[in-house]
Amino acid sequence: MDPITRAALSSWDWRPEVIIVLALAGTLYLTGWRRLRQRTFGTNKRQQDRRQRTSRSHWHLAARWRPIVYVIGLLFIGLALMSPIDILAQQLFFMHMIQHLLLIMIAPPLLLIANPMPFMLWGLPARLRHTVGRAIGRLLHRESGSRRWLRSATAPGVIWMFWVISIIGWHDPNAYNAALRHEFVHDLEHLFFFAAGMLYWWHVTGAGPRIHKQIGLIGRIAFVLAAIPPNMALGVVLAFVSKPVYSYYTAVPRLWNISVIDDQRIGGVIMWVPGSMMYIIAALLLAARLFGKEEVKPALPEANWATKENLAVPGMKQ
Amino acid sequence: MPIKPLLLCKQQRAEQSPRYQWLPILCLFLGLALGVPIAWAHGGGEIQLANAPIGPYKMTVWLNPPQPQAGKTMHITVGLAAPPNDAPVLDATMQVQITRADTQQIVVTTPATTEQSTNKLFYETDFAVAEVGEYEATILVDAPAGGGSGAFPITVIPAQTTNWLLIGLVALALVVLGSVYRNRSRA
Repeated sequence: MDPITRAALSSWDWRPEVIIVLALAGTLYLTGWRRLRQRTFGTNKRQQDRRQRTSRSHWHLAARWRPIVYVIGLLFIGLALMSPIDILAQQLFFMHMIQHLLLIMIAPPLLLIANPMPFMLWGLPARLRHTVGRAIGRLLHRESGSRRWLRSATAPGVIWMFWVISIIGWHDPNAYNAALRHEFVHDLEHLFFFAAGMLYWWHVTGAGPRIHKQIGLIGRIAFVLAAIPPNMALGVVLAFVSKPVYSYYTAVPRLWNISVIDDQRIGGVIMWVPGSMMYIIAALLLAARLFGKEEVKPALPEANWATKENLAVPGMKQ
Repeated sequence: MPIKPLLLCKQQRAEQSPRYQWLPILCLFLGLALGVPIAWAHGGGEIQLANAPIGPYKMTVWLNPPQPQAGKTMHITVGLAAPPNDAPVLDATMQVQITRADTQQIVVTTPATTEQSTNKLFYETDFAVAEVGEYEATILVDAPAGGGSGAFPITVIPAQTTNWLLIGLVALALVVLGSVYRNRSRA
């Protein structure tokens, strides 16, 4: 391995604030999942397995796949914020785009498919759980102003706008260069992206807390596909522009013989193709669920349709 | 199923006042405020020299924080690029010298190495200057194909005496204690 690649791969930034948050989230989730699983299937492991096998749906609350998906989601956040991907984002634009993909399009859906809210609440000690549960209950109960405000502030249209403004706004050369120069601005950028991603995928996955009227599968497919045009447009612009857009990268040593312009093109293509692909995959999965639901609809009883009138040739007089 | 026991029945909900609705927002704000010094401490910074010629190489230097405080750690990060494709140079020897602008007295001499840097493709050194004033930082580079030096001014400002981290933690503790006390007295 050449010394530059070795040095790049050994650049890890073990940030205590990230590790603490991820460890806390993981511990809360796993503790809560274990408690809820014991409540659902009993404490005996064999009993749990038998009951789970006889359970009608794999989508039940304490299913085994949920903590796996949640932990993978947390690992992707750790990878985005502490691995060489984060360090090399200071030198390579395309690495920064990979980091953003992880924070916007990979980690949020994985975390939300695992439906973290009930598990994290159940991960808390009993008294604290009741206090937090009461606080959430007050914040989100039907008649409260805070729920009304949250509903309108997180309506699908508003979230779409927030998502587009976050993506386009942070790729403005001034904001982007500021993020690379000041670590605090860089962290703020990542918080924005992660928050935009979480809010966007919250509507798609239907994870708790559910304060909006649930969007139907067709509506969700449309919502997912609506993310593609702004993402694609930005990627196309960056892939085809012939001058360096972000001046910061012109002052840093280049890696692996990749020029500033080539780096920018690769970054644009990553945003354009894999970035859009994630939404297309999500739309296809939703479409599969939609058609799957059609298939499992029970057939109408024969008595409803096998009448003389229904079976007669239309227009034929009896 | 599991969410139900957490939530309150309608009658209980009606009895609850929206007194602590601001609490999550305060906690979020404090969390962000407390995260600032931690975020500042790892890399980044303002570019002081961009592509400065050092023999056959190009050198870029960052200073973090951009306005260092007396007695507090500052970080100098150096990137050295070799022609023709600006690849990073990893086998150079670097010294950072901090000189008082008025007396030309050297107050700090410290090596900058790739081992000290989070990004192993850059050289870094961390040090503190005890007194407020105007200084000059000189980076002395010795690399296989040549060497040289680059310099830039540093203004060291008085140390901030307000410990916002401590104030934030105390405020958070007071809020938590206050809410616990009120809940108990109501019960």
